[in-house]
Order: sequence, then structure tokens, then C-alpha cells
Amino acid sequence: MAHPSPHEHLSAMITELISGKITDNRRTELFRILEKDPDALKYYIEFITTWALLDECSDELDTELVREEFNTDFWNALAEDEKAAPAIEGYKEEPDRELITKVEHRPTERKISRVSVFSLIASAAAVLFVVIYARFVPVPQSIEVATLTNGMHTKWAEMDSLMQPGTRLYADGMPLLLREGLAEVVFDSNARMTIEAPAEFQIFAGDRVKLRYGKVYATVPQEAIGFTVTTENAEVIDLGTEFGVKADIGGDTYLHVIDGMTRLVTRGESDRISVDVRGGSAKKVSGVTAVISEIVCDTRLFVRAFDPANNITWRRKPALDMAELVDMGDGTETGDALRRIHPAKGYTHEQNVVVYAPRTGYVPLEKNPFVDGIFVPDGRDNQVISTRGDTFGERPLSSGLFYADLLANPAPGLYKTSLRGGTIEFNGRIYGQGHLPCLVMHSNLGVTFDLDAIRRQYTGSITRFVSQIGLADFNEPHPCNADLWVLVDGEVRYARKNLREKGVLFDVVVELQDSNRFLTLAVTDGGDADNPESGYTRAIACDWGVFAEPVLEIE
Amino acid sequence: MEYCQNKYADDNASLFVCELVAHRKQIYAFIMTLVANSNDADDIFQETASFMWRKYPEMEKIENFAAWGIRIAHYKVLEFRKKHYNKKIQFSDDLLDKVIGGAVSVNENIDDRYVALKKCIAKLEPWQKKLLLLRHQKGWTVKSIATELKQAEASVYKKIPRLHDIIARCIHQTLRAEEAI
Repeated sequence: MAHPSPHEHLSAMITELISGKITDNRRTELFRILEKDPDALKYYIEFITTWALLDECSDELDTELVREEFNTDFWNALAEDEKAAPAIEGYKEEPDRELITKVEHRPTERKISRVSVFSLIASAAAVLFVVIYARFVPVPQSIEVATLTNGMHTKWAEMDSLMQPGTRLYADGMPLLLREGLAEVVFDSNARMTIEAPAEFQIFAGDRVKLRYGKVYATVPQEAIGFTVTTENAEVIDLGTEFGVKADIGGDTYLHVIDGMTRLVTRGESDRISVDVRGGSAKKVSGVTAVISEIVCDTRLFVRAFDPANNITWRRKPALDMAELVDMGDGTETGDALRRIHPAKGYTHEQNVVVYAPRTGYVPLEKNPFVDGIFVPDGRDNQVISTRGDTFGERPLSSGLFYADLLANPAPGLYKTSLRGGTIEFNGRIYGQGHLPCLVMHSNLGVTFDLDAIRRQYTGSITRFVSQIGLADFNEPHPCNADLWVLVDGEVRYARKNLREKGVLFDVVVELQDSNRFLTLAVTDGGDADNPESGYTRAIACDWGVFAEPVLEIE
Repeated sequence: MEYCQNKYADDNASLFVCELVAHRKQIYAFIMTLVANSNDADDIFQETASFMWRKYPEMEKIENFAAWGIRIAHYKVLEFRKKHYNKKIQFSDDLLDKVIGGAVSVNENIDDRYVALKKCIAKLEPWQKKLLLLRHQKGWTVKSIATELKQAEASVYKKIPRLHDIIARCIHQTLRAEEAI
């Protein structure tokens, strides 16, 4: 005789549940236990699974003994067992009469045997009629067309365990309901969708998705042109673009085209209207009237990408703020904006003391994994500009003097003196702490970033360095002349030489490969003559180099 | 399943039936775990099988028949819940989430579990096997068994869960012993 187990009470309730004999109170108690106790839940699942598997065990159960009619020996054995068995806790034996009257029997036996292969074949054969009929009715394709590639804080409606990164999705029209979080779906055509909860959508084909409600941001490459997102009242056909679609439960559809072109088709009752919508534009389709109206394009309405490992979302093109990386932050506006990098001392909180000091060699910055080091371009051949030993690919003209620390996002007015204003401003836009990000590098200064370290922190490839460069205008009574550089692994990829205009920005874009390790930014004094007579006659005078909104774009 | 593929490569209908028979226990056990009622599970399994049969010709290749069937079964359970939703008698959404997670996990080694079950059945007393047969194979209700044998329903009610608990513990021990090998 088996010893009583701690699960006998649970076992009794589960048996009652399966048999349809459980009382309301017992059911409530059982569900409460299953909610609270993971072991009980596990036991429940295994119990039910075993119950289901017993249907497959006809051979094992169908012994010789079983074929006999019932006899008293059988029940004597049961009775003996009963005498020795402990009571099942919580079970109250109800009087036979009460049991009989309260039993809820289905009027029929089970409809079809769960066991017999023949019954299964009969089931399959029975549906052949459906198949024959169904063949005259077009049905959507049920092939794999996409992959759920990523998720962040996701909660799918009753499907969490089935919807994990890597799950393949079918074009079967099944509703997929994202209750919380963000999900990314990549189609086999390379069209990509970021879905923002709460959202419900259906995939009907490799290039067709219906959004019942919620927000979807689609990035569609050339080879996937024609990708279509439909809502209750509109259809958005991609013509090579990035766009976001928001569908309200009330029926309104909002289309924001970020880049490229789409075709918007309304699905009104009487007629369909088709308009082309270009990048930078947005339209609304009324859920009531299907009228299309112009709205303001909100480029930040949609999450375009996300990084669950670092808990980051991007509502613009994914990019890392390099000013923030210098600030000992992680590129996502979390760093300390007061840190400076002295070319000899490294990171310091000390206010810079102007020394017009000569060259100091390459100074590694071990405190910051993303910034490899800092140096003063000295105008000599083969100057080392990385810890790996990469050298400056071209000999820059430089006096070798430096003037100010490298500073990321300086506070407006920080550089103010009686002779100059102190706010970094270009075209009426202020840069610095609390405003647009920037790196300020007065000549002669260079800083090298370790792209491998950045890649290790973030998923995806670093594809480009993008920035604007210029010389800040502090209204100083002296002209400027500087060279601004961007190097990759020591190779000069961009150089704007002899820049003599203050307050003007120029665009810089440098493509990057996964094999590139070091990115160097440098400002040199353009080879001006150096006269120590006064500050404004030094070679480096007024060369306030600025890298405005420097970012590393990532994919 | 290779056996089915090899035997019925040119006969789609037979291939489908072969696969369905081979993977029935995974799909049915999954459904049963979610609805905990054999009549409902029967209905949902039939609907699932029907739907699978309709979609089968359109599927280019099914890597995992059971997983495909479970996915469809899951939707059919959701449809069933919507049609028959009654807060008193169904799992809450949160509890259903947890049950699904556990069911998928248990389903992954269901073949091992099935083998362990057969070994455990072999260890039962003849009367225990008989009781299981009457209940599971012949489909007798507890009342029918009790009425036939002039026993109190309560007595029979006690036997069945106790027997299942014995089997559950045996399976657990068998699987653990095999893992240790």
C-alpha cells in the first residue's frame, strides 16, 4: 500500500475537476492553489498529462484479468485497501442521495472514442467533406513568412510561452495580441516591423499585415516594396520607405511617413480613394467617414527599434550619442556632464588652466571603456593615436600646443570671459548641457573611440559616424584657422582644412565596417605661426572646434 | 515523423492520419491541461484535427507536427473559452498563461513520460489496472462503476485520485532515475 502523499488532496480536487464533479468552492480553492503554488501547478499539469496519456495505454491495461466479469474478489481487494488507507484531507463524503441528485451527467457517453485509431481515421475521413467543400473557397496561405526576432517586456495574450524570439510566424490570419511591451517581426522579404503594445495584428501573407489596433513601425527595403499594412478602414502600401501606422480601437487610422513614399488607400463603403504620402508627411483616415485629412508628421510617435539587453528604445534612427560616451555615460543620456578630459591627466573635475602646453603623447583612458585615449596632435610623422599603435595617417600641421580640455556638452556660458561669449551656438541653435549634444575640442586635440568596446555593449552593427563640424563663434576679436579630422584606424576619412569661418556647420558622414576598431576625431591649428606675445597671436587662437550632434548609427 | 514519411510519402491523407496518430498524445494532453475536462478536450481535439486537415495541403513543410498541432490547439482552446467563457469554471487569463507555460514544458518530454507511464502501469496490482481500464478505456463513470458494484460513490471517488497520485509519483521517480543514468 502506498504511503499517503502530500498531493492526495490536490489529486482528489483535480480528479473532481476532470470529472465535472467539483463544487464551486472546491474549484475556487483549487484555482487559488494553482495560482499561488508553483509546485502544485506543476503537479496539476503532470497529473492531467498522465490522465490524457492513459487513453493510449489500452494494451497495458487490457490484461486477462480485466476481461473477466466483476467479482467480489476485486472489491474485497479494494475494501482491504480502503481500510488501510488514510483519509484524504478535505474530502467530505456526501450522502449517496445527495450525490445522486447533484451529479451533473452529460446525457450521452463520450461522443467519439479517444483511443481508437479507427475513430481518428473516421474523424479525418469526416472532414474530407469539409476539405472538398473548402477547396472551392479560397483560403489564405498557411506558410511560414516571418520570424519574431526580438521582444522587450513583452506579454502576449495567453501566448507568452509560444512567442519567444526565434518563433516562426505563419501567414494564417491568426490574431496576435501583444498586451505589453515591444516586439520585432522580420519578414522573409526583409521587411521589418516594430509593434508597440497594446496591439492586435494578423499576418495574411509575407507582404500583408492587418493591424486591428495599436502601433506598428515598418522599415521596408527595396526588395520588399509593396509591403502592405491594412487597418479597418485603410491600406498603406509601401513604395520603398519607413512609415508608422497607428490604428485606434475607435477606427481612426494615422499614417506617418518618415522616409520614402507610401500609397494610402481608404476602404470606404462606396469608393476607394488613393493618395501618395511622402516622407515627412502624415495623414489621418477617419474611422467614421473614411475622409483623409492632413496631420503633422510626428517622427517620434513610433518606437523604431529597441535593445532589450540595455533597456533602450529609439524613436528615431538608432544611434549612440558620442558626447554622452565621452561623459562616461553609455550613449543614452545617463552620464555626468561635468567631466573633462585633460590631454595629460585624463578625466578630471578640475577647471582647466590654460597653459599652452606642448605635446604629451598618447594618453589611454582606462576609466572609460568606450574612449580609448586622448592626445595632442603634434605635427610629427606617425604620431600614435590609439593603444593599438595606429598612427595619424597624414602628418597634420600643428604647433603641438593645447589650450583647453576636451569637454562634452559644456554648460552654456562656460567659456565666457571678458573677451568672449561662452555659449556654443550655430544657426540660432544652442549646443551643450540641456541642449543639443556636442563635443568641444579646441586645437590641438584628438580623441579616439574604441568601436569594439561599443559593439560589445550594444547589439547590432555600427554603420556610420554622423556629425556636423565647425568652429564656435564667441565673438572674439581674432580670426580662426583650423583643420578638423575624422580618422578610422589611423586612416584619414574626412578632413576639412583651413576652416576660417566661425559659426558655420558642415555635415560629415563616415561609413564604418564591423572590422573598423578605432574612430579618431581631431582638431589641429592649421599650421598657423605661433607668437607667444599674446593669447590671440598664438597658433591655436580661436580654434574652438565643435563636433555637433556626433552619433554612431547602429543597425 | 520519419516512419510516416517513409511509409506514406505519396499518400497525403494517410500521411496526415499517421502523423496525427503518432502525435495525438502531445496535442490531446496539451488541450486537456488547458481545459481539464475530457468532454471539452474531445470536442476541441476534433476541431483541432479538422483545422489541421484543412490546412495540411497548404503547408510546404512541417518541421514539427506536434508543435504545429499544439499551436492550432491553443487557438482552438482560446476560441472555446470565448464561446463558453464563464469566470467560475475557467482559469483566469493569468492562470492560463502559467498553465500553458508548464504544459509546453511537460510536453517536450512527453514521449519519455509515456514510456515511464507504461512501466508504472506494469507495477500496478491487477485491481488497480482494472479500475483504470474501467474509468479510462471503457469510459465508465464513477457512478456507473459504483452502481454496478453496489459500492458508495465516495469510496470509488477516493480510489481514483489516490491511484493517479501513485502513478504520478512513480512516473516522477522513473524519469529521475533515467536522468541519473
